[in-house]
Parts: sequence; structure tokens; C-alpha cells
Amino acid sequence: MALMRSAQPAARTRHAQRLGRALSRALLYIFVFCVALTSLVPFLWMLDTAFKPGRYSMVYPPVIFPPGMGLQNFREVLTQTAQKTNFLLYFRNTIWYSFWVVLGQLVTCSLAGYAFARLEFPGRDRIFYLYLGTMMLSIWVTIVPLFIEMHTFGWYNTMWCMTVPGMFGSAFGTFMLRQFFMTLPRELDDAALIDGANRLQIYYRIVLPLSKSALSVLAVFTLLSVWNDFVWPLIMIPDPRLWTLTRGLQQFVGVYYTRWELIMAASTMAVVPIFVVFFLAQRYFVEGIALTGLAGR
Amino acid sequence: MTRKPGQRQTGLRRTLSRTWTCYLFIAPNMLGILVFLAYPIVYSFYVSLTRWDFVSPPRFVGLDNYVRLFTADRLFWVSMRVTVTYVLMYVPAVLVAALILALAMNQKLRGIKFVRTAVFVPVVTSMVAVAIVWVWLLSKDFGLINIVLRAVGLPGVGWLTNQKTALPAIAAVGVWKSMGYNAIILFAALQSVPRLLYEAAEIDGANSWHKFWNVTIPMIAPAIVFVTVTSVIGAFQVFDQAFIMTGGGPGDATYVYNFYFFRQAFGQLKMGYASAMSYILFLIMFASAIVQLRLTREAAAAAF
Repeated sequence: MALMRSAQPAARTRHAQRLGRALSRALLYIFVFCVALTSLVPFLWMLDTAFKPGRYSMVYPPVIFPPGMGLQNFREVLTQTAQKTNFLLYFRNTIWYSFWVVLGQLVTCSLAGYAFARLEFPGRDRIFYLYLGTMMLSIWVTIVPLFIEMHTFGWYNTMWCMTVPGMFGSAFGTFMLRQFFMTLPRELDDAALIDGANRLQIYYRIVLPLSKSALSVLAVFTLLSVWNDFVWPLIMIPDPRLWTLTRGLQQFVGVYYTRWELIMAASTMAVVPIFVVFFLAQRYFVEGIALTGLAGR
Repeated sequence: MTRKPGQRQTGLRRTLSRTWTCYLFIAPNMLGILVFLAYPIVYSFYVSLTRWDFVSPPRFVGLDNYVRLFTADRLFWVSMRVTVTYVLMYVPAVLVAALILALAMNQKLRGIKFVRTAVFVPVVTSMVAVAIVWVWLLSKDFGLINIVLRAVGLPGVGWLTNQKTALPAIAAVGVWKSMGYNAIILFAALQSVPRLLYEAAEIDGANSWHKFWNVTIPMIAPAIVFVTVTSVIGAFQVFDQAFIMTGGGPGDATYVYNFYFFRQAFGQLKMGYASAMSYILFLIMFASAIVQLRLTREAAAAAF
């Protein structure tokens, strides 16, 4: 009898515990669902406005799927507004700048990363720490002297200032690739040295082919930073023929500030390419963040 | 036994040439860092000691720019106050949001991969596009936020045109955009906490709260510091939202530091004055990073 009496409350607590766990799990589901929704709804609303005929973007209560949805706003952004804004040109410029910066970063950061990971030379570690130190600097601290420098070089308001400064190395890329190269087995280098290969041959015949994933991480991150950058093009290129998508988009809002259906169509065009890259290369984003997070450990 | 002199010379030459090869590997990168980072930093300090309108040659004025900023510039202090307020709103919010999200990600829920993808979409989008979309969402009469509020019987608010709500609104947009990024960093740290520690704590009779407070938090403390430091540094540099969403207004409610800096530097071409401003910002960011790192080191030392 005594045993039964003590067992019953125990079962009840276990039951309550299970119920509590199920409840907290349900709450957790609701929470993450809400977060995911909050992250996506703004973009869905952007798409909705972009595809709706303009007169439906300003009605209350809102109509989510009105008649006449289609590409008319996109057509208008690309054709009728072409005298002042030219999104196809901004596309071409952005892709062109991104191409050169990504290429430059891949070459210079992998060369330096290899040297820091594998070669012995005087002052190596001291130089490396200086590199890490530069990661602290922000564009806001250097933008005035760079503005002056671009004028001195004659690059201000030309495509040179959109490509060359970005091509030569970054502490971030060098650090990331160095970390990755250090995980490759050193025996590979030694074996190749014995076979008579020189350092440069080892770098591009052995190390680079083994580092495709790390190079992809760097490429994707660099692409993202060039594509999304706003401050640099805002300050360095007043000429609309050289504008990037972000710069053109910002100007577009200023001109068509009441035509939300057009603004949202333009925004959609600016962000969709990045969404495509993101969904194709999602793995690299998470890897890259895990690698940069290592800097804090 | 003794080497021939010629041999030694080739040996030395080989070592030298090998060293040169090493420097050649880092040369392109080094050149970029020197020309586009190191030199500008030093040059910036010199410029901050001059008065320079970019038309006539710079005139050396010593610390005059700094003195004027601190003593005679009302807008400097206004923009500083606005920015510090922004930092104080943004950093705790993004930290808590990212931490909760990371903890949720760490549970083995079905469909969590989808959530991870979803919260990352704002991260990869440009702040320009994000800011523009949010201006539309927050607009007074037909913005989605006010539509939802009205649907549940609350009055709509002119979020970006009201002095009280404009700064919290742009801070919220900042949190919304970078929450996913910080959550992934914390999530990676959570995954590296050994399960053994939780089991040991359970044997000692710890409940979930104890486990969270005494195991999880100390174990991921370095990642929390990393997120905090980078968030503080990032928040001090806030610009895009204020530039696009509010233009510094209404009044000077969102007149953030870099907005003022931008106007001084590229609106009025006051190169020296603006350089002094950017140097002050640099020192503030640097100091806050140092203070945080030191505080957490002390906290960690006290905890163990």
C-alpha cells in the first residue's frame, strides 16, 4: 500500500514532465516558425508589390492577389525609365566589378595565405599579426584619405577605383585561406619538393586543387561584399554610367518615391541574383561563417 | 673538410633567393594593404591636423579640428548621442535574439534547416535593398506593419516620421538583418560544447536553467564576446539605414555619427575636420573592443 502511494505521485510528476517537455517543444516550434516568417515576409511583400498593378499597392484593406498581376512593373523599370536609370547597365557594371575583385582576391589571398601557412621567412609572424590588426579597421576610417588617393591616382569616377583597390588582398581572405591551408598535410609538400617541384608549382599544382571549397567560400563572400557595397560607389563614382545596382537602386527611390510598385520591382531585380547565388552556394556561407567565427575563439 | 668558398656562396645565394620567393608570394597582397590601408590610416591622421577644402592646399592647424569638435560643435554631440543610443538599442537586442535563435537551432527540430536558410536571407541581401523594402513596410498608410496593427485594432504609427519611433525602427531593421549571421556563429559554438558536461551536470541534479547558466553560457562565452565586439563595432558605423530610410530625420532623431561625417567630408569637402571625426570614431571602436575583451577575461577568470 505504502509503495503504491509513493509510486503514484512519481508517475504523475513524470507525466507532468513529459507534458511540459511537449509544451516547451511546441512553444519552440512556434517561436522558430515566427522567426522564419519574420525573415521572409518582407521579401514576399516586396515580390507581391512588384507583381501587382500599381493601383493595388495603395489600397486598404490590401489585396494580395489582384487581377492583372504580371511583369508590367519590371518592363516599366527596364524601358520607360531608361533616360534616368538603366538597370541593365548597373547589372553589367556590378558583374564586371565583382568578376575582377573576386579574381584578384582569390589570387592574392591564396598566394599570401600559402606563404603564411607553409613558408619560413624572417618576420613572417610579425607581418601576419599586422595583417590581423588591419581587420579592426573599417572603411569609415580610411575613406577620406582613399578619396584623396583616388583623385591623386586619377581613378576617381572611373572603373579603376571600383576594381583595383578591391583586388589586392584582404586580411580576412588571407587569414581564412591560411587557416585552411594549415589543415592540409605537410607531407604532400615535402614529397613534391623531393620530386623537384618548386614552391610555386606546389602552390598551384597541389595546394590550390585541394582547396576548392575554401576558395569557393572566399569567392562567395567577396562577391557578396562587392555586390552589396553601397558606401564606396556612393562616394567614388558620381557618373551614372559607372553605377552599381545598389547605387542605382538608391537613386531610383529618390526619383520614383511614390511609385512603390516600381521601386519594389527594381529592388527585386537587385536582390534576386544574390538569392540565386545564396541558394546554390548555401553550404559555403555556413562554412565561411564557421571559419570566421573561429577568429573569436 | 673545409668548404670551398664558391660552394658557400651558392648556398647563401640559394637561401637568399628562397627568402625572396617567400616575399614574392605575399607581395601583391602586401602592396594592397600598404597602399589602400596602412598608408591611408597614417595619412588620415595628418589630414586631421589640417584645414583642407580640397581646392586650396591643406593648411596645418594642429589639434584645432579636435578642439572645435569637442567644444564648439553641437551636431557632433547630437550625432554622438544618437549613435550611442543606437548601439545601446541594437547590441543587446541582436545578442538576445541571436542567442535564442541559436539555442532553438541547436534543438533537433524537424525543419530547422529551413529556418536556418530563412534567417540567412536578410543577411545576404544588401542593406540598401533591405532599407528600401522596410521603408515600404513601415510606411504610414499602406505599409504592411500598420496594416497588421490596424487589423488587430491598434492605431497605425508613422514609424519613420515620428521622432520617438524612427531610431528604434532603424535599429530593429539592423537587428532583423544581422540576427541570422550572429545566430550561426553562436550555433557553431553551441555545437562544440561537449555532451559530457551536460550529462555530468544532470547527475549533479541540475535542471535546464542551471545547465544553461552554468554550462552553456561559460562554454560559449568566447563566441558571445566575439558577437558582442563585432556588433558594437558594426553598430557604431551605422549609416545605410539612416541615409536611405530617414535621411537623418525627423528632426535629428536618426542623425547618426557617420551621417554627419559623410556630410562634412563629401558634402562640404572639409577633409581635415572629417578626418578628425573618423579618427575619433576609430578610437571609440578600438577602446570599446579592448574594454569588452578585458572585462570578459576578468569574468572568465572569476568563473573558473
